[in-house]
Amino acid sequence: MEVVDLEKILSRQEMLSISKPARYIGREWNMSMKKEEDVEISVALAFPDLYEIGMSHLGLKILYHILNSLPGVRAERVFAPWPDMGKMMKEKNIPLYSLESKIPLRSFDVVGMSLQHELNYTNVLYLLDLAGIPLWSEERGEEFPLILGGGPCAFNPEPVSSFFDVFLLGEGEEAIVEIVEVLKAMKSEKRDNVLSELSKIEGCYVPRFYSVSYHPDGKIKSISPGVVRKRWIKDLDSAPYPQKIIVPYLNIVHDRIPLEISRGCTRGCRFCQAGMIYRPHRERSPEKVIELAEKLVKSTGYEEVSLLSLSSTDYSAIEYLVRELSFRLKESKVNVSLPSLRMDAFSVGIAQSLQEVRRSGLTFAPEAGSERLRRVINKGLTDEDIFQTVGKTFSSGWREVKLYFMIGLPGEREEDIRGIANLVKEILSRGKKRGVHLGISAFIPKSHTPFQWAKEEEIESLEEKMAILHSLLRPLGHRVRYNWSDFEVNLIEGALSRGDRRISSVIERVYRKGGVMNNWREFFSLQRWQEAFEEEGLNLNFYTHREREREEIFPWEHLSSGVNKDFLWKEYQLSQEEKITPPCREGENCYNCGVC
Amino acid sequence: MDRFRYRVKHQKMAPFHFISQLDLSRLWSRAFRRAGLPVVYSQGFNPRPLLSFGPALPLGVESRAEYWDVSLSRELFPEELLNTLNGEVFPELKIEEVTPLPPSFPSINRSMKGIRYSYYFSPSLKERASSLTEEMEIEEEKRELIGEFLVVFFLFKKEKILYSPGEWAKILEKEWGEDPTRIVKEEVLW
Repeated sequence: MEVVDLEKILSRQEMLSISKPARYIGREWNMSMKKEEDVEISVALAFPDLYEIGMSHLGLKILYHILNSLPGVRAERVFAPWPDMGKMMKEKNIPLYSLESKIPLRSFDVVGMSLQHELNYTNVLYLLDLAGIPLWSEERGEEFPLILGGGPCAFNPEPVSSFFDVFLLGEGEEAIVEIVEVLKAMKSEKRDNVLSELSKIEGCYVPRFYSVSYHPDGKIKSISPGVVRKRWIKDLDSAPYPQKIIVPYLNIVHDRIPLEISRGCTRGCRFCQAGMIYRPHRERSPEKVIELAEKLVKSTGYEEVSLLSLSSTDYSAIEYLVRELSFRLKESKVNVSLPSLRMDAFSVGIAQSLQEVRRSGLTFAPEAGSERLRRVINKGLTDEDIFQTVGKTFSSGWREVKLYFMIGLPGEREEDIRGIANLVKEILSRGKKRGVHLGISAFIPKSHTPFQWAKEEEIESLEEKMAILHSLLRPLGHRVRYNWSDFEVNLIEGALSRGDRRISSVIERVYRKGGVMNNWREFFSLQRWQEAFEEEGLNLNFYTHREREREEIFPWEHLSSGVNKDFLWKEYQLSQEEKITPPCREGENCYNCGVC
Repeated sequence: MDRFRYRVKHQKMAPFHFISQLDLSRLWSRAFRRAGLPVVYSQGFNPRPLLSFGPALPLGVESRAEYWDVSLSRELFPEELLNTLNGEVFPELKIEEVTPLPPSFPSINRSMKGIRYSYYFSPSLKERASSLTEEMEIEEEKRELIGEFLVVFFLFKKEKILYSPGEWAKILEKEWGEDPTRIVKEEVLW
């Protein structure tokens, strides 16, 4: 087996010329090393983003744990190198390799890639290219690994469907084991037979078995054959969860123990894809969470445990859990942190009971500037809710609140934009010497949400709205800090989010023009994307700035999150009537979305 | 509260020469927590084990002699501390020595007199290098060639830093047209 020994290939000086060489050396605590003779099947978990980002991802840790605990299976990690290293690897002919055994990516049996963000699509090609693997699924011979995709973007993977052999829809804990079993049993069989067997596993989508036809106006006429339904885990307590996770040397984005306390969300915000595709809401019991926390602290030595969920204060035993966990971890000086706070006084109270809290500010997401628009998006907060929450945040000792807003929401009016500034003004008047930090981003309609029919707002119009905000926020002085997203980047994210198969060639063109790490502003170029769309004879606006009709067949029509289209359409209608749909709970308030 | 001070000597060999001083301090802090050792933590909202390091080792330089001091709240046999910590790190970071210190013993930076580094070059350089070293006339440094690498003594003199290992590498590279393949911190002179 070929092994890539970076230090033999690159001189000391060359290694030092690369930014953060520690990204490429591996050898972290708790990584899994299987003996060559024990390996029947090898899986590379290749994350199409930087080490610091991929290493922060919970799904990767879970799959790594599950796969390596299977006998005969070796799972190793691969991340996208920063462009300086990518260039060095090309120049020196260094193939992309795994961090554990330093084996070239192309010699693995399977490459699994998690698609977390549309802007990483060109990085998929970057990884394949650096590995010496042909980019298009059709061009890959039997000697190349099977390329498997997953993650939230697998719910509309059409733009990258030409590069992958299989996608897994939904949660991977059970399905990955079934997939590996099939691959083990069919190791010497032809790729097409293997794919056909894989397509029988629930949640597995093999794009090459599907055909798509189009109307003359570019809309989809039909997708066949049938529908693939996502996988989801019924009981989180019995689902596998790592008791050991790899401890990196570099300070990664989320450098702490991630403890998932629940999956799914009951709130039903109409813009939120996670709130739809991760349904239904499920909780891990506090006993299980505490047991895992104690084991993980022992095995990693981490100084912080973070309780993960889409809305942590919606967890039914949150008070008990936080109290008990803080108590048990106090002696070993381990902090408990709680992201994703709901905007109410209860949440502030919980946050206050944590030791780590005093650091900086608390973060909330009102999302829209007026009560009316918050009803449109089903974020049922009143202005008074916001003032009370922020008031309690300030009186509990925090100096700053961070608030997230979106602009360009469906049905948004100028008064809603002014509403953001009015909220800020009122907050400042209630909290002397306190500050507000605003994060403003452009709304992007996502597949599988009630807003999947909506048009994405044009850049010019978003800029006009920002101009209004500038004129209202700047006079408020230094107590208000704010930043906003890059609308050009948002535009492309939107096109890819609701894109179809024809976009694969666009993505390849952008990659060939040098487009990697497109989620980093310094490497993003709108012109590159515009050119690529034009060269492929595709209209960018068709994918972004176009309101869809009810009957339109979406590129993801054959991929089901379990939530049915009628429910989503009804929610879209309710949003136009500015009507709220209260949170769902099993047994009560069921809206028949179709998941349970 | 009682405090028991120890001076710990450990290695930092490849590939760990590519992790920074800050990364290293986090690494030890986590190793202490895994080992469940009775280390004294700093105060504040993000308590960390109180480790005091010597001069930071530059990125890309290996070491057979890294040092830090630590305080424990309970007395341990030095071997116990050594063995427990070695169970929590890779052999390239192996702890070589643990010495108990009296409470008022001077810090690493105050007690050290110098550092000895080795610069490794390719064997082909050996002939050319020996003549060049004579011409360099850097008074305080002793130089000698052992096998295929050059050893440079005393990059520190008393408490004044004469050359950092990186600067030395640049001087040598300028003279010989070749960059050292490895730089290893061999020992600290007390």
